[in-house]
Amino acid sequence: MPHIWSHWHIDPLMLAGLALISAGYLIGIRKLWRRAGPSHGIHRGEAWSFAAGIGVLGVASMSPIHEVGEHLFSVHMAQHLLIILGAAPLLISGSPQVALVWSLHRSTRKALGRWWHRARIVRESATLLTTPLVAWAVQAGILWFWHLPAAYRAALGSPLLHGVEHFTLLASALLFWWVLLQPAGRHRLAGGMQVLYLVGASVQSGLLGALLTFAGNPLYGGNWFDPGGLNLTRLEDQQLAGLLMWLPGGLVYLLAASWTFVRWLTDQNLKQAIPEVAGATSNC
Amino acid sequence: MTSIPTSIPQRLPVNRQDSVATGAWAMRLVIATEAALFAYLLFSYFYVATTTAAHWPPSGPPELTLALPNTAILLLSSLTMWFADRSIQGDHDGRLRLGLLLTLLLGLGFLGVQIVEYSHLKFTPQTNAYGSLFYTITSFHGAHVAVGLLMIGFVLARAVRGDFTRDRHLAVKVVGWYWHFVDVVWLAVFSSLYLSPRFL
Repeated sequence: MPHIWSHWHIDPLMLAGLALISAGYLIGIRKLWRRAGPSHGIHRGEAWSFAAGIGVLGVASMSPIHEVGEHLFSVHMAQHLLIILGAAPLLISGSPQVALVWSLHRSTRKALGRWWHRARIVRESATLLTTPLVAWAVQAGILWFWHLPAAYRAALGSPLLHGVEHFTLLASALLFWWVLLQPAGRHRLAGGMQVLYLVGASVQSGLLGALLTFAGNPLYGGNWFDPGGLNLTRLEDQQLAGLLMWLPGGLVYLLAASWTFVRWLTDQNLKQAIPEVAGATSNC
Repeated sequence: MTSIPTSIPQRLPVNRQDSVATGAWAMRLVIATEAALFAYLLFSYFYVATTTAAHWPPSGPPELTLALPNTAILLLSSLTMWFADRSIQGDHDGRLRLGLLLTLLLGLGFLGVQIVEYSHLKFTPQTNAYGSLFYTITSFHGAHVAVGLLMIGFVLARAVRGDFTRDRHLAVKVVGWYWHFVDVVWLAVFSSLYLSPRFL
């Protein structure tokens, strides 16, 4: 087994970022739970979900996956999928915004609230970005952009661009899952629209996966060698990457859509059983 | 005995004018099916691009000299459509007509520039698969713009007749949805056909 498969790439900047966010989250839930009681405000399951998200992000960015991904497209794809379909929904499920706000000192928290209240442009941009259609399109657009051959090659050729690539993929995925999992006020998507949102995402990422799977020649060039001795040709490696995006990637969206669908129907049943609840959530 | 009112103080509501009206749902479904159609057209384009061994696009990326200003024209027309919709929400009849008229003219301008661009192209739909895809996708979009212009013309005629008020203007809203959709589709077509070949 070549050395590269056991090589952990410890990126100090990444490590510091993960540690800082985890520490903030821990302080936040400690304060919150001391005030409101354990598992209140943020559920214990949500906290575990956040921890799992940090774990997945750490594995994706620092384990041998990162190093091998520099050479094998399929492994690089697995890394991207871990970020956008693993880490992002897990982190968002953990209600990080609540914990991080609680981690701040009371006066800082108040100052932050005042700033948010005053910064109209920031607030309106955030509102625009978290509009479901916009969030969906931003995520899809960024995903497709980085798979353009020139963009992909540029990212492989420069550590800075590679960092930008991973950061934008993560940020747009956080936005995508935020709209679904942490809806605020009137931006809350109705159940049926949530299902469409997810199925649509599954279709667009499936189409990109299909393109990579059926492409007649290697699209990305780059620093090719087969580190695992897997006897993959470059084209086979690309087909594997496409299939990863198409099938397991699509499956995550589809499972999320199924779960949303069941929850939607359950809600409808509840509404019929208790008519007063029907008025509480709007339909459109 | 109570007297029967002989005059009605306000116009009777005829059709629903809210977001669950038949027309609103019909337009949502039209947009959904047309979006799927464009998704598959663009997928075909990329599919042929990634499976061909030949140079892509065979004649190099299409020129931006006309397409880029044309994109701006279409984006501007979305803005004027939005202005029209907003005006009638404030019961400004004149501004509604102005917004619709500007949108109509900008849309016509877009189609005109597209025809000029067609006449400058060095390939035809028969030249190769790329030519077929290029003309199919852009003319399919052009057809959607033309249909949109018919709708806007119809809505403008109704606006001139004074059909719309602050509370009853579903047609303006629904045609606006369609027009913004056509605009967003153009952004996807433009990114795929004009910009993406520059990143190969």
